[in-house]
Amino acid sequence: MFIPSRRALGVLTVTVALVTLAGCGGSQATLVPTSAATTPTTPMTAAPSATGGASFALATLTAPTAFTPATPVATAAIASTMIVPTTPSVASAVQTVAVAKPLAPDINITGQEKWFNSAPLTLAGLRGKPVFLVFWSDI
Amino acid sequence: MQYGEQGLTIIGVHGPDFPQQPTVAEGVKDYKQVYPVVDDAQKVVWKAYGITSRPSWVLIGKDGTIVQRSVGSATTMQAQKLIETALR
Repeated sequence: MFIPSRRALGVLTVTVALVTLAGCGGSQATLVPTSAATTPTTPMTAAPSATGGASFALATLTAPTAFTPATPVATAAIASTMIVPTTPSVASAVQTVAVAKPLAPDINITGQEKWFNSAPLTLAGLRGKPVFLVFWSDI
Repeated sequence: MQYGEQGLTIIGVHGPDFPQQPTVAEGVKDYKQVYPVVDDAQKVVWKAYGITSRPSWVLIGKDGTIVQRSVGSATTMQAQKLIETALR
C-alpha cells in the first residue's frame, strides 16, 4: 500500500491548488502564493484518516472544499476592487455638491434699476472683492 | 468708510415699504449716504435675497457667494467681524 509522505501531500496539495486556481480566471491566479501557503493544513490533517494514497488523492481532487479558504479570499479581493473605487467617488461627489455654493443673486436683475452715487454696478463686475449689501427703506 | 479703503464695496439696496413714501434720492440726501445705492423699486432684489424686513444686510465674499445673511436683526458687531474675515 502506498502511503504518501507529508512532503508528498504538501506538493500534491499545492499542485491541486494551482490547477484549481488557474481554472478560476486570470485575476485570481495572483492569489496562488497566498492560497498555497494557507491551504496545506486542511489536507495534511486529514492524512491519518486516509486509508490509501489513491483514495486520499481522489478525495483531495474531488473535494474542492479543501480549497475553500481561497474562495473567501478571492471573493473579498474581487469585492474590494468593486466597492473600494466606488465609495470614494460617491463621497467626493457628495463633497463636491456640498462645497459648490451658489453665487449670490446679482443686483441688476431687471436692468432698469436707478443708481445713486455710482454708475450701475453688478456683483459679477465686483468679483474678487467682498460686497456688503445694506437693505434699507427711506422712512 | 474704513472697510471701503480695504476693498469692501458697500451697496445700499432701497426697497419701498409703500409706494407713496419719499423718493430714494431724498433718502440718500437725508442720510448723507456716500456709497452706491440702487433703487429696488419693485423689491426684486429684496425678494431674491429673501429680505422681508429691515434692518437687513447680506455679506458676499470675494468668490461671489453669500457669506452671511441677516434679516431684521442686523447687529453692527456681528457684521464687523464677518467683514473683517471676508477682507482677509
